[in-house]
Amino acid sequence: MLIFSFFKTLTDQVITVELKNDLSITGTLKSVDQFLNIRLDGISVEDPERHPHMMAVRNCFIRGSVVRYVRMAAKNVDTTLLEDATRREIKDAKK
Amino acid sequence: MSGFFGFDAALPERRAADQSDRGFHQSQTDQMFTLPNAREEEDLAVYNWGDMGASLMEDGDDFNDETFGGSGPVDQDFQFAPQAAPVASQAPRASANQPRGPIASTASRYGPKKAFDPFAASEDDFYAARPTAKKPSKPAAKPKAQPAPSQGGSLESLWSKPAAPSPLWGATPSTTSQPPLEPRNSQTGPPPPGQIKSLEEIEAEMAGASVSEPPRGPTVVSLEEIERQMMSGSETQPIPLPAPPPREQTPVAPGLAGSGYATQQALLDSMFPELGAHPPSGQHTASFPPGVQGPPSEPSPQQREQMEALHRHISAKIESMSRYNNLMGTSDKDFITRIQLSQLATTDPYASDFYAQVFSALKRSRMPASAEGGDQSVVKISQNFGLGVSGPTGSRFGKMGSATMQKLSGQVKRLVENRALHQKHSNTAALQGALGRVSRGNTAAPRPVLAMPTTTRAEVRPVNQLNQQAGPRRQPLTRKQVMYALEELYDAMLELEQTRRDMPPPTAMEEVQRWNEACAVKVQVIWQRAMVMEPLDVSNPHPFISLMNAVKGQRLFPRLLRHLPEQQALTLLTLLVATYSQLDVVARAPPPPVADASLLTKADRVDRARREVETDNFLHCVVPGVDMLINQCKLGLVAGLLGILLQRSNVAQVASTRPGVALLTALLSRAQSLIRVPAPDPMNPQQVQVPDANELDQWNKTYAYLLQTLLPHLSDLFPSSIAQKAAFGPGAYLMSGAGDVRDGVEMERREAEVWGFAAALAVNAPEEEQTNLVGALRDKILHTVQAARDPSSTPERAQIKLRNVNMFLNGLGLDASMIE
Repeated sequence: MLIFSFFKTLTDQVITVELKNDLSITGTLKSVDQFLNIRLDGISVEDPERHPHMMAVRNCFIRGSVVRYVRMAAKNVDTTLLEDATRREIKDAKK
Repeated sequence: MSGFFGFDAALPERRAADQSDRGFHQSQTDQMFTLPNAREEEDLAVYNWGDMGASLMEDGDDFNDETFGGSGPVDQDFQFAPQAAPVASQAPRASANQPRGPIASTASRYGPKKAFDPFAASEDDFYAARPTAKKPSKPAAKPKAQPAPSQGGSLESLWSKPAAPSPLWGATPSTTSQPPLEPRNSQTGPPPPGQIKSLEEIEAEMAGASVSEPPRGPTVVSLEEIERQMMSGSETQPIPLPAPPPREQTPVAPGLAGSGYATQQALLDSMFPELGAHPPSGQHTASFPPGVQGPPSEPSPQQREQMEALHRHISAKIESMSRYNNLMGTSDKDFITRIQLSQLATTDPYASDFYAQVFSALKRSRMPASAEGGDQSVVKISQNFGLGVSGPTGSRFGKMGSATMQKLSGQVKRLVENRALHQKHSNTAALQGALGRVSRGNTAAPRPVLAMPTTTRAEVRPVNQLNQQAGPRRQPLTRKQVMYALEELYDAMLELEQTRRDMPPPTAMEEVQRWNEACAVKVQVIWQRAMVMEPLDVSNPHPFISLMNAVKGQRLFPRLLRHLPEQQALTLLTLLVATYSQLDVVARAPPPPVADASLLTKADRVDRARREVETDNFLHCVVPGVDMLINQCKLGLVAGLLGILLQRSNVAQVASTRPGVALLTALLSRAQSLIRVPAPDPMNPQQVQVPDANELDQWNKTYAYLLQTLLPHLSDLFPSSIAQKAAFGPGAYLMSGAGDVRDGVEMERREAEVWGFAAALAVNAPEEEQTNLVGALRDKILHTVQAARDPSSTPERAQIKLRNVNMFLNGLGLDASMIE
């Protein structure tokens, strides 16, 4: 739930999602669900020459399990808060 | 799609057609309904044995026609299928037709069911078509818009054949292999009763039903056309064709309004406006990359051709992808959303959504302009269920009306309750005699593989371990112990902060009282875990200082101060000052920079970088808190703190570090602001407190001692002097020269800290001591001023140098410009 909670705060921010097939998609995060499926708007592909089939795609829905990395701006992340949230998560799990 | 068990079953000439002109499910139905036809056989004939066929002689074919009915009409006697197949290709293997019969019939037996499938894939498409198209499963009621002849398909042949004598259901007719050439009569009347309609029939019916024109009219629209138009209807602005896309009829559902469908729809649309909305009609063209549209300058024909090719490629791609448009209707999405929301509901929405909740709260507090009160961050579903819906910019749930919200939470509540009920049932059927407790997980908290009941073990308290050692002096905490202690401290801090956040309304006196007590208890826990009250000399470093040596601990310091009552905060400050020299940042201050970093080993470089980071972090996290505390002290206390520092540590060593300089400067300036009686404030004259004579005396003594101790080392406190001393060999010459500009400026900035300290000393000093001060710093002043006037130094650096010196000299009523 922590990571889901975290990604919720990134909605309407521009992120880059790197998939496990090396496709990197940059776009505005529209929504995310508990499986970390991601919906992106206004997307652009990092290497359009290698992925011509993505040319006409403007928005996409990414299944959470195929995501390798998500890159985001540091200013959108509150590291201290994230640390605290992690501690809480651990504590809740222990209960 | 055009594969049958992996074979490409389409005719070669049809393959091309398939690629370009494939209807929504046409290829699918092609395969499904045309199994027994002759095209198949032609295709099968491809798999012959090469050239052998030519040399083989076959005879005895004379009566083939008669046997297999290849020519002319045949009696129905040995037709197992109700309709005779006019096998046009006269392949002499009609017997192969017979075993296929069952296959074909299976396919079409499920045909009617299938008919709903691709078409009503979006549920509201189905609903939308309903009011106009009466029950699609009652076939005979309605005349159909007969599709015009197009590529060969089972449908045409069905119509072309008069009703079969015994309409066995599932008997799919076989068709001619060529595309039908003769135009067929479009109105052949209703199909025989009992005849199960094929997929395309139903489609045609529904498409026809949504045509406002009566379908008997002369407009003959081919099925494919209607389909294509329906699919692309929301995407492209259709040429005015009789059939509007069914989606647009969504609101017209009079019969369904009572069933909640319309309200659901409205709810969903309000929740996810972007989901329900049709894509703008301009999207089709707007979605091309801007460069593709053609630059304003005249492109060469070749370029234009390329661009056109690209354009065509993209259009084809979009076209092929548009097959999947609107597969899910809004209500489907709504359904899934409700399921998902119900899974997210937890007993403690604040805790499980902690990050988002606090993050958005912080964000909201940071922009006070948009302080709207009505924004809910948690949707309460039932008494102990809820889900966090907050985002940084307010939730989309916030935009919903309360009525919609209630409806939503009602629906989700039902789902959650159902699941809880179900779980209770299955939990009672837990395995008996199983090891441990068998629990069921959910998405939020997955089931642990083996849940053993854990005995609540005693707290691992590093301080306990510390106290296991006897004697007044003990070993310092190990790094692991420090980390454990810090984590415990953080846990206690989080608990306290959570408690503070749940402040009861100020009107409820009893609750506030209880809340205050709870907070006090938690503060006490924190206080103990911080180990401030351990004896001063229990170990070196003191346990609390061990905590403050870690970067993690330094970050905790300001939060700690926020919660401690004043008395405890002052105790903390005293401890910190008393053991200041034990701090890593003081005891192991980063060494002065060297002229050539390549002389260092890698480990050395890493170590230096780490110590720099620690120092920066300390100055950033701890020192402001210390400053704040000192600024609450009275003069006696300030003098006491300075006294403790002098007594317990080597002041010269402390003062040669940045944290030390910061601490001393803070003490001196606080004392100065207390000693100097401010001009009486006309607003509240009582506030002005003249410092007590005893305190003043104590301060003067302490100060004199400080000055006396520090004066011989004063010029060595400057970073440049330290660097000069540390440098050796050729580095010493490099040092004095202008190195990297950035490093130089950084060096001056650090020098400024010491000059500020010197100025604070000077301001506090009595007059005779001021002369001594200037005497001690005389060389440094002259050197700095000369360096500033040196034409080889950059103007920026020179300016900082002058400002530094003036900071000190102005305190004494002097100025750098007086120096010749």
